[in-house]
Amino acid sequence: MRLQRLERIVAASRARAGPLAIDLALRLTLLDLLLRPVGNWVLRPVFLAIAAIALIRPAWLRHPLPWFALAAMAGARVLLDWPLADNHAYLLGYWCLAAALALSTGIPDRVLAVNGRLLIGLVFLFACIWKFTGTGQYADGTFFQVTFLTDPRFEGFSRVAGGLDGDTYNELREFVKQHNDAATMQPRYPVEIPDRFRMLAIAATVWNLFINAALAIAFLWPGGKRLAPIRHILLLTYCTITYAIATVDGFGWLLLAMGAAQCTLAEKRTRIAYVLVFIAIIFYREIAWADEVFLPLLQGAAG
Amino acid sequence: MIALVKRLAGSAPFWLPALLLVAVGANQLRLTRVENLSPWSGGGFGMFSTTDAPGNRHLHAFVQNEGIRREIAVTTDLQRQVRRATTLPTRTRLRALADELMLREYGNRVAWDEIEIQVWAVEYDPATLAPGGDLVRKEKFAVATP
Repeated sequence: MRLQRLERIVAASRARAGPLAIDLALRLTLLDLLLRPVGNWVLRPVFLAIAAIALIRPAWLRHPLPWFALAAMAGARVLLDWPLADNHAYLLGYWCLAAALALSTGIPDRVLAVNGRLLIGLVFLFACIWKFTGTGQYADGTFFQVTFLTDPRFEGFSRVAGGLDGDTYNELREFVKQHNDAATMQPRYPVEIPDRFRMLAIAATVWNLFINAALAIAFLWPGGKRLAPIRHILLLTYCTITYAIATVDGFGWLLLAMGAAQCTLAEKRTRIAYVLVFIAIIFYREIAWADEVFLPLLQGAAG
Repeated sequence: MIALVKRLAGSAPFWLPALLLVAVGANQLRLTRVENLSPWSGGGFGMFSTTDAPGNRHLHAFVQNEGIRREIAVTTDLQRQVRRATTLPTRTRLRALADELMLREYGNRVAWDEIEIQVWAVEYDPATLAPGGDLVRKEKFAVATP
């Protein structure tokens, strides 16, 4: 009943609505698939082919079948890779399924918007469960200190923002990465950790706890015309900052597609903001700003 | 009752993907507690929340007889299998890996009583960041006599 009533309302307003906001969300999802191809050598060409055709053929873009196929392949990828698939693989499956289901109804934009809101809220709710209650050394800042030193994607940022010169960075990294368990050696003599680097890790921890919780609450809070602008601001801020540092671009693009699905037709500026942040993440990926811009500048100033 | 089912089915496009996410996420939480699944894996959105990432886990394998214990090397061609076993170290998975290791190392030549597989994670001292071993799971399997 609810679905039929909504279908009537949307059908009545569609004539004067112009291009639907859902198209942007679907296209951003397909771009995500093209820019960050997923799957093994069997699934990947099919993912790419469907995404490319749907991107240039509106009939495919708006047809549920390609989206059901994408959802099924994303699910197959998770099962074949079990338990190694990352979060992006799961979220891609849920989102393609949401698109397929939405396009099977008479009110796809409304259905996709609700799904986008719920999925974003739940993603950050689960992230909060792990970060607030997990025993993974997150809340005390250890996680970010270790990650900044051991994940090569963070090296430039750690050195620029943490004030670590090359020697100190390498020394700390070697210390943290040494193999040590009951079967082998004792740790080498600890290296002094600069206060600025420690503060950077604490700041990253506090910021992430705050923004994750804020996103979970904002997106799962029921109702929400008044909340909509806050949701958009929080999500765009999160993606702009987070993916400049952690280049997990595929996941970021997917979140943006889900956020864009919630834009109303009147929110042209918001939709443009989603596109701009999507493009920004492409630049983040292609230009290692910390390594290629700031590090040489700092080294030049120092020497 | 039928009306309720029809209503639920009719509104499924609104909630089915979210329900799937919750079900998979809840199962991931269960597996981390029951089977020591790495929180980074399994679809529970625990990535970037803990140092216990799959890449931070490793394993040791020992064969033993009464009074003799020897570590056996894990060859790189088993990397994928090892990665699966360290990420979700169920007894079944570790048993399969143990059998594979024994076959590769000894074929049918030497009879050992037992093989022990240890899965380790790394814990860091919050003050110094000194890494230390954290035994995630240890399983012993009797070795079949050739």
